[in-house]
Amino acid sequence: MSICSKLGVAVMTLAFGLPLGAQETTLDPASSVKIDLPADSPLALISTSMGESRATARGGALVLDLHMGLTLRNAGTKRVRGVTLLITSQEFAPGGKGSVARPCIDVAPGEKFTLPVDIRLVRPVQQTTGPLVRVQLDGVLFDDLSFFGANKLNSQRAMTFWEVEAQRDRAYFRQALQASGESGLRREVLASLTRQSNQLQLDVAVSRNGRAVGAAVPASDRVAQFAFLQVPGSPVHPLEGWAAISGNEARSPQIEVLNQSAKPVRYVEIGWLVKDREGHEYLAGSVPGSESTMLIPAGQRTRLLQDTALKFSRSGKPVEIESMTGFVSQVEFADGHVWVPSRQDLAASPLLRLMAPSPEEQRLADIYSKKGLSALIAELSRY
Amino acid sequence: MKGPHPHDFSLSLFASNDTGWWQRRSLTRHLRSCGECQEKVAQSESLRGEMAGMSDIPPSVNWESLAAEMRANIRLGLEAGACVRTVPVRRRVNPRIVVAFASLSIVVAASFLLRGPRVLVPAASTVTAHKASSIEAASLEAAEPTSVLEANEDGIALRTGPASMTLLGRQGSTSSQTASAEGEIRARYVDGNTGVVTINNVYLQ
Repeated sequence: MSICSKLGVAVMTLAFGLPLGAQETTLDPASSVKIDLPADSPLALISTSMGESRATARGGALVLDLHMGLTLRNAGTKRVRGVTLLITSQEFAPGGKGSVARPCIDVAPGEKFTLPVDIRLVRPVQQTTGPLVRVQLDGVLFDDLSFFGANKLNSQRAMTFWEVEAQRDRAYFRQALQASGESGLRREVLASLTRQSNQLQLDVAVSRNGRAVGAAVPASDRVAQFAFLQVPGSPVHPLEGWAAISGNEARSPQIEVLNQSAKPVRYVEIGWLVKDREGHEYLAGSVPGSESTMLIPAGQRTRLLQDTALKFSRSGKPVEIESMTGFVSQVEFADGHVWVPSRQDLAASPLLRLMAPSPEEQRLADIYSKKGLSALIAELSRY
Repeated sequence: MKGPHPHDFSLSLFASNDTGWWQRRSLTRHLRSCGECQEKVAQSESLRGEMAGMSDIPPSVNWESLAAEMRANIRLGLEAGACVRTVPVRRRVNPRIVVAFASLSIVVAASFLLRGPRVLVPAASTVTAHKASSIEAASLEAAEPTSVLEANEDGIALRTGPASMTLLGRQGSTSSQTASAEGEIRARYVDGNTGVVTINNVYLQ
């Protein structure tokens, strides 16, 4: 062990009170987590709990389990519909970042809510300086779709899409209640729960620069074309697209799209379905437009390019990709307005069966399954 | 009888079993339905039998005059050949062989063209070639990844060598996850007790 390494271990030991022979210790929130809220934040930090957070030495590695609960108060004048926190840990994931978001909320001015942040950090035992985790406010979305925050993660866009989808789906279930009564609402929610239970889930590994970990040199790569589902009301149409396929890995997806609306578009996301050799179809993910290249004038086309590799598996077994299908799932115009498929568009295509439900639809269906129809009706009447 | 009669020379070779496999197959098919040619083959076989039965050359053969006659015939043949040398020889082509080769060529060409996606979209061949080449370029440039993002039973993990950061899943919550080709995995949890939704995202650097 070098002198630097010995010094590092000593510093870490002092910092966490973790003698080398000890198995675990409780973390001190003040020294391990730094929470930054801007001075003009509409959310005020009331308290931070660290719950069962621990540091554990396992062999030559340090394992930190952080279970934080951040209690925040709406200190603004508008109702809060969504919050996103940016999580970074330069010591453990240099350059990497995470976020914890709470969509589909309705927090009135003065009300409090708690946002849980659960993280596990692992790294070889060595010198540690400064806080382990930094938590920042990336954005707050209000009920009038206005936004506050640094928006480093484009959380304004994500939360706006969630909120527009939530409004769509709440209106849909309310309309079912008004048109067909409780039985009609029950029927719609049961159909949603059935779709959710029938949707097959894939495990995905993502890497940049072309290859997921553990993949061999691509001797059997082929370039596969996307087929496209046309969503009737979509302002953007996919034209053609490709990805390199090697077994259960898809790399460097590229899709050309046409803005057929009258307004410039600054963001498009293509939903990505893959079919395996047994004919099972999965919602594998999405191909979004790159930030730097995206601004599509009306009537113009552009290419969505991503230089990543996605590796699909299910229950630990590779899912061999037979074919791929894409569809436009989200569009953001340059003026900030967004488009998502309507319920009619979804119902008129296989998308309703294949797409994941919106966070709000999943939440409403969960309320029905856990608390019953009356609780769902009460929830729908709240706002 | 199908098709024109084969040349007598071919029938003689057939009778002496001196043809190739393909020609023999073709002649056999012709002979099945052509009595005239069958008769010629039979004659050739008969003559061949008689020749085989000749044990000796007659002693009265004048070898000098025979040699002179052969030289004269050879000379005559050479002069006749010189007369027709510039005339192009028209070969008879069996139309069935032409059709067979044409069909084979179509099959080979089709299998070549259908093996890759570039020819599946001829209208966009230029774009396709560009896309394919850029994909290949990306593959060639691919280096060992420094980080990988993966969803597992614990949550979403970003691993960089031996270090990792995992946003843990919510215990007792229903979850779903999606990946973005931009380098992001998103997991969604709905708490059964409180009904609140939490969405965790982890991004590659």
